[in-house]
Amino acid sequence: MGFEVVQQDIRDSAKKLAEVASGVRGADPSADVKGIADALPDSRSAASAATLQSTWRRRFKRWSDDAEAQRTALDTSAADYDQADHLADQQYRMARRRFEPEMR
Amino acid sequence: MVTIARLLSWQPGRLDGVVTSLVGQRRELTDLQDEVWDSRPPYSWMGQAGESARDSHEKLRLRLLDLVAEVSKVAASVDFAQNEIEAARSALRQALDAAEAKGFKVDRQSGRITDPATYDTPADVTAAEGAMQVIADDISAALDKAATADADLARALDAAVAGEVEGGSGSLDDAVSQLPSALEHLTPREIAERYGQDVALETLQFFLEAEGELASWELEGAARATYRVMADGKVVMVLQLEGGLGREIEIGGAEVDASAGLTTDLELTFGSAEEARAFLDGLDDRALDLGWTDLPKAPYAVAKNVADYIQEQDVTSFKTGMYAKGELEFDAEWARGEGSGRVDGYYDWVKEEYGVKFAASVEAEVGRKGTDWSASAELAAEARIDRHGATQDVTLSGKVGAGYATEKLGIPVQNSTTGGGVDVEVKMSRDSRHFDEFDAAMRGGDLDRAAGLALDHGQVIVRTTGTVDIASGEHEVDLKIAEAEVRYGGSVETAQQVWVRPYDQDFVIRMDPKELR
Repeated sequence: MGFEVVQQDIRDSAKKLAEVASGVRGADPSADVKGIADALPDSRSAASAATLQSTWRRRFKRWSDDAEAQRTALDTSAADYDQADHLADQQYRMARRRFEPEMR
Repeated sequence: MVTIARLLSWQPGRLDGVVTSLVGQRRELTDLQDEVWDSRPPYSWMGQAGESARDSHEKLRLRLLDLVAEVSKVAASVDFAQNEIEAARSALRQALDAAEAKGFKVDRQSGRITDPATYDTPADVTAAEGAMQVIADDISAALDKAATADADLARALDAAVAGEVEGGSGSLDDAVSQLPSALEHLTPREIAERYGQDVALETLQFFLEAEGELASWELEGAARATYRVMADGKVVMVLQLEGGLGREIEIGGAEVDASAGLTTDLELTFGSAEEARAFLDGLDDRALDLGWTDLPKAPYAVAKNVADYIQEQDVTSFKTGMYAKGELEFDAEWARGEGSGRVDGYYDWVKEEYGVKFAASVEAEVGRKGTDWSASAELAAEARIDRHGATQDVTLSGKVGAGYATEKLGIPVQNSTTGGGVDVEVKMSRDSRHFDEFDAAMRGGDLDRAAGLALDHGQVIVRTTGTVDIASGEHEVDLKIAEAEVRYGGSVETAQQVWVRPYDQDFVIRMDPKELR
């Protein structure tokens, strides 16, 4: 197996991660909880729902941003991954196998 | 504190839309499961860099599980609160209507009730005060219920804000399994007592069936004894007896083995397994409790003793009825296969209601020979109707694939040990707010709409089960004028995984049968 295969595998996971990031961004439910305040005006839940709305908006955005950042990092790693890394990896794998025979 | 005016201003019906969109967003998240696994950096990328990339990915994945759990918890809690507030509002309206009917005035802010009327006798005054007190109590119970529901919902929302909802470390579907905040303080057993009265954990069944031939007729008889341990701790014993006549007929290329007969079902319910055991222990003693005067008529005395003993128990159902059943083999141009069906009609003397049951299983190959389009289905339906003709409940049950349970019912059935097959029971009864709509659709013949309402609002029980045969056998008996075949057997069915979706709710409660036994 050449280093290009590993490179491609890393790129593939980066691509999938981009799909997850955009999926999570699209599934942000923060706007939905606003309906709680409309249905139950002046309730304790209405007050909590307002806080949750902004918390979720932030939290979902942060998750997608972090996933995007990780995707970029993966793409960079794939580009940087070369023959030298691949050899190092193989040596590492052999060394681990020697010490941990049960590891596959 | 929730005032009358405030509760009247609430529109719990609008929470429906919140639940639907939250469940929709949650679905979009769980649909990402495959992409989440596939986005993990490859194991072929070894060394420090690869490992730290996989670590970061795992951290991201766990955060996503928590997000799914939060959305699920909030959806379940909004759903639960909606039902509670709806019920509180309708109790409040009833109390206000009662007050108005009596001519009382109710202050919508303070809740104070006043009576502008004047009375002639002290007895009239006392009666009016009593009526006022009842209404005041009903109003305050309704307001308390609404306040509790609001506080429970707020607690779920606050927990989500604080990031306190745990998504675990499994799959996204596993993270969905969240109870509404109002049920969190209950133990698994308390939850089972509340939602598990229709869930069988263990079913022990013995049967004895006989079939004899007499001229061109077939005589058949069967006895079945069932011992069922329910999730709410109760034990239900059922004794069924039936006998009938049948014969083979041929209709247009199909061979039909049809029969009809009479049935008797006796059902006893015990509060616990201990009570059921005490009943069985006592049965021997009582049945054979014979005096010397009984000896010449011993069979009669035994039967009477048993009947008397059963009368003293909690007989929850005693049905007499009739059945018709048929086995069908068909081999036509367009389809080949076999099927069997059975229709039961009965009257329950204890519950004072009628019932109709329908069960069928079909295995067929459809299309031209050799095309291999085969289908098999097993389903049953039962409707119970009271003496005045009002439908009490309708139950549909059958075996479906795990995929169906996840797709249609939102119940993530996994690791099924029954080869992907699961038992599903959908029940629609007066416990659902949508029962009248459902009943009208049934009566109007709009079965698609009825089925849709049942799937959306009915109680759904999904179980994966394992069955072990204890014994079974077959004997041929020569009765001189007829030949008979006798079959007997016993089996134990054990529920391995159980999910219950309560009436009118979108959340699913997972019960662990091991914790409840």
